[in-house]
Formats: sequence, C-alpha cells, structure tokens
Amino acid sequence: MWFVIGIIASAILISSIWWLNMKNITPRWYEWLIGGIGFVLFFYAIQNTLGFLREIEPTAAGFTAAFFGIPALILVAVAFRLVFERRKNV
Amino acid sequence: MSTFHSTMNRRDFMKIIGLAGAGCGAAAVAGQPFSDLDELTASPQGLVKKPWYVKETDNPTVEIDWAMMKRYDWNELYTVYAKNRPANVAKAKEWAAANKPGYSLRDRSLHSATGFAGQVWGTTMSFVPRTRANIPNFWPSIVYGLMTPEQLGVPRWQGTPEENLKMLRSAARFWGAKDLTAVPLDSRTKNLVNGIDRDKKPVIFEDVELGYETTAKRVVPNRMKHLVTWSTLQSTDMIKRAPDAICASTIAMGYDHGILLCNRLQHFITGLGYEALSPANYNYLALCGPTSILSGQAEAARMGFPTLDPELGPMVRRWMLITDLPIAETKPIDAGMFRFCRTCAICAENCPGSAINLGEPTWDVLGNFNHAGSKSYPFLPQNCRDFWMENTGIDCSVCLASCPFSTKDKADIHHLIKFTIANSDTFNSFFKGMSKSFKLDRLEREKENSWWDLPNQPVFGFDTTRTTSLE
Repeated sequence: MWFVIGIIASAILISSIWWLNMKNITPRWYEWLIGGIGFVLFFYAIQNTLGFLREIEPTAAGFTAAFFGIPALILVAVAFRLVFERRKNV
Repeated sequence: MSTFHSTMNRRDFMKIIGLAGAGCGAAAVAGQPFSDLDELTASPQGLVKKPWYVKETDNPTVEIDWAMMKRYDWNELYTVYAKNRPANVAKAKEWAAANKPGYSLRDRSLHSATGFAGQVWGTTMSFVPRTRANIPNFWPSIVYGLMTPEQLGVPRWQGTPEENLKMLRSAARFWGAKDLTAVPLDSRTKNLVNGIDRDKKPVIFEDVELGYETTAKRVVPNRMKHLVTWSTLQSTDMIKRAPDAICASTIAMGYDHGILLCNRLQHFITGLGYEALSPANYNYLALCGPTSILSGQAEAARMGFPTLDPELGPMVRRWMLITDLPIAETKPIDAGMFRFCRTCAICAENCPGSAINLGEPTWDVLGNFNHAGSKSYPFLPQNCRDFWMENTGIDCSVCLASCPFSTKDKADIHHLIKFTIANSDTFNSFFKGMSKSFKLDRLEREKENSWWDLPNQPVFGFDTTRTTSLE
C-alpha cells in the first residue's frame, strides 16, 4: 500500500514542479517550506487515520484526521495562495 | 486555430526524468524490509531489538533499597485473598441468561477452556528437572526422552555468556516468549526469590550441588548463577475488552504459554547439562516483575504487579527460572514510562476496585502483602480480588486495558509519542489527555463490536511481527 502511496505522492510532487516550471513560476524558499510541511502532514494524517482504523480506534482516527489533516490542507492552501498572489502582483 | 504547442527543452526533460527516478526510488525504498530505524540498527547477533529510543541505564528508573527488601511470603497475599467474598454466582447466571456481551455462555466457555488447559499443564510443572523427579516419559524413546550429556557421552554445552543468552532467547522465542533476559543471583537479588512459596513451602538456599525438594522445603544451591526471566504475549483486542471473560481468556492464554515455556526451558537447559529450577506452579518461586525491571525488559508501573514493556506496555505475562548456565546479563532500561505513570494514573482512576494508588511513589507499604524495598506505588490486592469476585469470578485487568501504553502499533504517532515520553516529561499531561480524548481506555468494547466477529484475528490473538524484524 505504501509503495502505491509513494508513487502517487511522487507523481503529485513531480507534476506540481513541472506545472510550476511550465507556468514560469518560481516559489520562494518559505513557500516551499510551508507547502512541504503541509504535504508531509497530509500523508502523516492519512497514515495515522488508517492506522487507528486498523487498530479499531475510530475516535482516535477521527481526531488524527482533523489534528493533522486540517493544518495540512491549510498549509498547502497558504503556500499556493502566497505563490499566486505574488505572481498576480508581478 | 492555435498552433501553440508547449515545448520542453532537453534540460527540463532530463530534470524531470531524474525527479521521476528519484520518486520511484523513494517509493521502492518504502517497500523495503527495513521499515524503521530499529531494523537498520538491529544487532547482527540476532538479539531481540528494543525500540531505538529506549536507553540502557546502570540503575532501574524505580529506586531500590536492598536493605529494606526481604524475601516474600506469598501466603501474606493469599491470606488476604481468603477473606474476600465468594464469586457472585447469581450474577454469573443472570448475565449468562441475558447474553450480556463478554459474559455470555460462549464467552465464559472460552475463558474456562483456556484457563483449564493451564491448570492441567500446571500439574506438570516441577521445581527440579523431571529427569530427577523420576517422572516417566510417555514416549520411551530417544526422540522425546531427554538424554543428558552424560548419557550421550559428550561434555556438557560450553558457550560464552553472550552465546548462551542468544541461544536461550532463540529457543524461548520459538516457544512463544517475547524476550528473555537474566540478572545475577547474588546477595541482593536472592531477596527476589520467595521466602515462602505459593503452596506454603519454604524456599531455602544451601551449599549443595543440585536443587532438591522434600515435603518440607525447596532447596536452591548457593552456586546458582542467574534468575532468567521471560514474557509471554496477550491479545490487545481481547485485553481491551476488560473486565469480561474475553479479556480473561487472553490472560489465561498468557499463563498457558508461560507454563509450557517453564517446562520446555527447564528441559532444554537440563539437556545441555546445567541445572534449571522452575516454579512448581504457575509463575511463583521468585518475583518476576522486579527481575524483568532489573534485567531491562520493562520498567515499573503504577498498577501493582504488572510492569511496562516498551513495545507492549503491561500486556505481557512474566515468568522466571533459576539456573547455573552462564548467561550475559542485561541492563535496566529507561523509556520514560515509570515517570509517565506519575502524571498519568488512568489505571488508578479507572480501577473498579480502587486498588491502585493515586498518590506519589513512596517507600511505604500498605501491609505484608506488598514487597518492601522500592519507591513505587503500593497496591491493595484485596480490593482488586474483591472486584474479581463481584465480576462473577472473572479476572479484571481494567488497569491493563486503560494504560496508554496498551496499544497496537499501526498508527505511527505511537512511536512519536513514545519517543517524546522517553526523552522529556513536558508533554506527559498532554499525552494523558490525548489518551482520554481518543477514548483509548473505554470499556465495554464487546458491546461496540463483538470479538467473535472481528475479521483476520492473528493466531493466538497476538501479532508476533510487532516484536521482530521478520515479515
């Protein structure tokens, strides 16, 4: 399963970089950092949510999905927003 | 019509191919047998690995005053138990008739059948090796009959202490133990050997060559070198159903396996040409919990008898025997667990018998049923056993089920939390709160989803791949 998730994650990352290159967008280091943390947190949320479901701990699964997943989505959205705001202003 | 086509220069193309290759490599590595740092750092000697954040120490995390310690008299405990009320049979009948989850007819039969086997096998235990106890073998052949080095005409087994530890561990793992360690049997640790055994027989040390037993005593030779201790496993899913019969079934299974291991290890060590003195019944003869703490399998816990394994928490049963086989000794560990108990106390809060101490660690004891000599949490066994009787005679184990260390390991956050606990006490309150918020200590799980309907239950109820690098 994690092999497949790794392939998907790699594909998302590579596609994003290719698309940014195609649009001539160069994110700044802090935009990479925020997006990268969000990206890692997202998969950490998936791992723990699925892990707790396998452990038959549904409340824990829900908590970790929210505790890691929501910040992950926020961070990724913030990174994208920062990039596109700067591009619009330029 | 637009004739625009996006183009890519060679440089960008090669960059993307490189990134794709790195991504595939990363994905491939994710599927490798080395799934964590522990495996990468596993000893090539095949010794049982501990999680990488567990530190070895010179002294256990619980303070010990050997001068205070005396050899334990198990009858102090059983005198107390004898005062308990009898099992609530009327309630047992009422709950069975009502098909109460965890106490129904099939649940009780599961518990009874598991525990019954242990009682039968328990009658085969012998303080001295069976070859000296003149107990005939069922198969009078060279295949299963024990042939000692003398009978085979070879010298007894010679190995270094490290080799002997690895050898005993390999055998014990094959027979169902999680880990096996040893402490030296010296003037201090002799205080861990029972003064009066469970069946009221005194255990005496004498200057003799071999151990022996009479109607009046059990004799351990002064030349014996080690207390060897090991742990047997229990099912997390079943323990979490405490205090019902399903939980008690896996407790009984832990005892069953421990009894078999006692017999097998004693037989094995005897076959190598060494002395091995086993408990004569269940896991008495010496205090297994303290032995496991001193030898680095566990830390002390708030909840009384159980100790905390860094991977499995209190969800193990502990056993021991005495031998003169030279074995490498192993040091105590520090994974922050005993310190965590100070903040946590969930077991004490949830204990239905109010048997577990809610206060701070203390040198005080509450009676002769406690074993003095450590700064820990004195326990009220009569309250614990009283609840068992009210629980229709079924062992409780709510403390084991409530403990934040009693978890599986599928969610990665367990490792992050255990690493943090091992290195800092700062977040202990937060982690206790998380455990409560996540409802990890909730009871009556048999009502939620019946154990009988759980899919893909592992053999014996526990996932042995948790404690090995083998997949």
